[in-house]
Amino acid sequence: MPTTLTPTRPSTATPARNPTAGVRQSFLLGEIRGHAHTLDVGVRGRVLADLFLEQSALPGVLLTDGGAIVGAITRRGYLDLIGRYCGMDLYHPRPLRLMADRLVRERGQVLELPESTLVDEAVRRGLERPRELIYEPIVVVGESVRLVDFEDVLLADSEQTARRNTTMRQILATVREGLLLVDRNGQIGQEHSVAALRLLGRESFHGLAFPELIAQLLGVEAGVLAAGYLETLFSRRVVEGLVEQINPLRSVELHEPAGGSRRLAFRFVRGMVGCEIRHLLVHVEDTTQRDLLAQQIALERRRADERVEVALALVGADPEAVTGLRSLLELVAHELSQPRAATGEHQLARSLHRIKGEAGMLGLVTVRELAHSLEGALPNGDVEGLRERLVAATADLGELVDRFIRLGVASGESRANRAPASIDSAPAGTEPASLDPVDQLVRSAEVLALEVAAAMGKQLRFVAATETERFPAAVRALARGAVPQLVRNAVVHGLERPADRRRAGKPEIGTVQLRLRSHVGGWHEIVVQDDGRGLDEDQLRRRGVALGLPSQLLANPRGLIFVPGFSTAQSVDIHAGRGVGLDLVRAEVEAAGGRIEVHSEPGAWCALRLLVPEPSP
Amino acid sequence: MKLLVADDSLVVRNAIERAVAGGVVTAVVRAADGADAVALFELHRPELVTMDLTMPHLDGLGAIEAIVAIDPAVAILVISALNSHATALEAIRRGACGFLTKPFVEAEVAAAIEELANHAATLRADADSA
Repeated sequence: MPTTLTPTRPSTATPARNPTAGVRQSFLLGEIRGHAHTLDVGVRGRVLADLFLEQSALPGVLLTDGGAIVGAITRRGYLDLIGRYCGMDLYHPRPLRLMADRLVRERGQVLELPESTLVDEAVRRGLERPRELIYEPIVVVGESVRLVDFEDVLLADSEQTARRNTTMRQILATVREGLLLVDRNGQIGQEHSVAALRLLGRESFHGLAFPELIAQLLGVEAGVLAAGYLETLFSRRVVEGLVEQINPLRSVELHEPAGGSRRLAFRFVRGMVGCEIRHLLVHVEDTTQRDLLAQQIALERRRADERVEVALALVGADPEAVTGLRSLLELVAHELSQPRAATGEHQLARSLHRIKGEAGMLGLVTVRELAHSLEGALPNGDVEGLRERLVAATADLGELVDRFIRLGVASGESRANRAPASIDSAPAGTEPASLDPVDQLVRSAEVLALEVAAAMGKQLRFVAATETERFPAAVRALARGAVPQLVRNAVVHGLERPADRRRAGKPEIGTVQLRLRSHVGGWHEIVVQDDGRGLDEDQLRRRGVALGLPSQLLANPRGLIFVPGFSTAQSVDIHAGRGVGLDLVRAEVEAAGGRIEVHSEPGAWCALRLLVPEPSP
Repeated sequence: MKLLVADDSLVVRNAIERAVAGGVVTAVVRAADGADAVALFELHRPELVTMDLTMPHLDGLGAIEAIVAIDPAVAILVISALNSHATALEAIRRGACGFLTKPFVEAEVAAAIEELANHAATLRADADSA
């Protein structure tokens, strides 16, 4: 008899499964109750028969020989032998040794496993046995030796599975994310998180394939892309980490049936079994809040940048110019919120055009672009979003202007103190050169000219001549409105591109001159002159005809440039304007009692000369 | 390992070559259009390829198909602007192993090429046993 078993002592049945196992999901063979009845091999068969009769639950006995455990006889084995022809007569009177030898010869040794074996493994080993031996007990060896009923092992395995399922179900019920499994055919697995149903608005995924679900939620095309993407993830050729960027469901917008929308993010992870891609774990997250926050942050950042831009522009700017601009902005913002009559439209357009020019001169790029957008949006009436931005820009500008004016008010006041009534009564030479408003005007005009030229690929030299120390505030205001328009026109319409200039025998760098002069007779002159292509009267007349203008206007082609909407540019862009510029200038000049002269030599130069009388006190 | 870079922009080709310098790539072959890419692939048989999708003469999709036909074990990374998911998925279907979108930073390319190189061994094994 092989002595493979080395116990220290026989013992009675060990305690039932450890009650503190709790949530543990893996049991050991040693924790299952067993039976440790022993009989010596010399004992007669009848004793075993009586024992089996008396203890109906006993699956078998361990056999000892001189104290050491040498084998086992199971109930089934015993019954098998006894049931044969003359079995009882053969085995009952004789020692158990005989029965044991016979059983070993026919069936082999009883399956023996250490008590540290996992129940999963024990079940597997047990089920590997020949069919007639599958339900035979197992000898469990450890501190002691026991015989364990295979039914008890199977029961332990069931309990283990049940616990694992419960734990899994608890996890799936608790997690906030949507989790689900998809197989190679796109079928959604039965186990998924409760949140998945909620996020995807379904009562159940039963029988639903993932691409189909996506098609229901996001449309047919999305469903096709989803199917395609799953295909790539299941392909062995594809590197999982290198296709994340082409995930078509990376961030999608889901429209609720009741209105409103949510943003969802889908992520996919391969589930590998060995080298095989068995399934995909799909992770669904609601990113609505997160995306909204990101948008708000971006908006705030942009506003902050704009405020910095405004602040920089205000440093060194003429306070009067800035205050004037601000008033205009407030007026426009107010106008836009009222229901507008058709006549009001035109005035509004002019105001926006003016804001464009002045903001441009001050270097307030964002305000200028906003005004340009509004100008374009006005005809359609689609202004709400832009209006809100204008209101925000006005508010920001206003706040910063207040602060800067307060800081700069000292210099403003000292100037006012020196000039009791208005600046024009100050004696010559007493003005601080750096804050001279005329200088401001000139510098701004230069900046504008160079900027527009650069944007159009033209080259220019800006020359300014101011032969006055006194320009009345009213005339200065007029100049602030008119000069940007005149300068812009000179660069956009007047100056040719360097290549064209070269071909015409002119120097590639054009010249734009700004002259501000006060005459002794009480006239103030503002002249903007360029050495560009001059006014081509034929071209002007042709455009006038094309626009259907009346013949008396066509009789004086040079005057056509003042007609609203006349712009002879090929396309409208922010620099060329929409034809609202010169008419506004003329209107202002005429309102001040002045006039505009247009001088030009076609192909050579063009000059616009504004003459404004001294304002009446 | 040898790398074939196929892109019609000189700036991009330079950027990719710079990105892989000092790594597992020891030689770089450059192509500016799809037809050249296939021809150079045939000649040099690199293990790794980066492919732009919009190129003259033979576009990226066609080039991928042709290259995989020559050597099924080649590891191709598409580096292109993502204009259409459908096109991107088609590129994978034709045999590409991954997709990096433009604009990219050099660190991204370096990391992607490293992953691609690791993957190339798997592809070689699959192809040999097929």
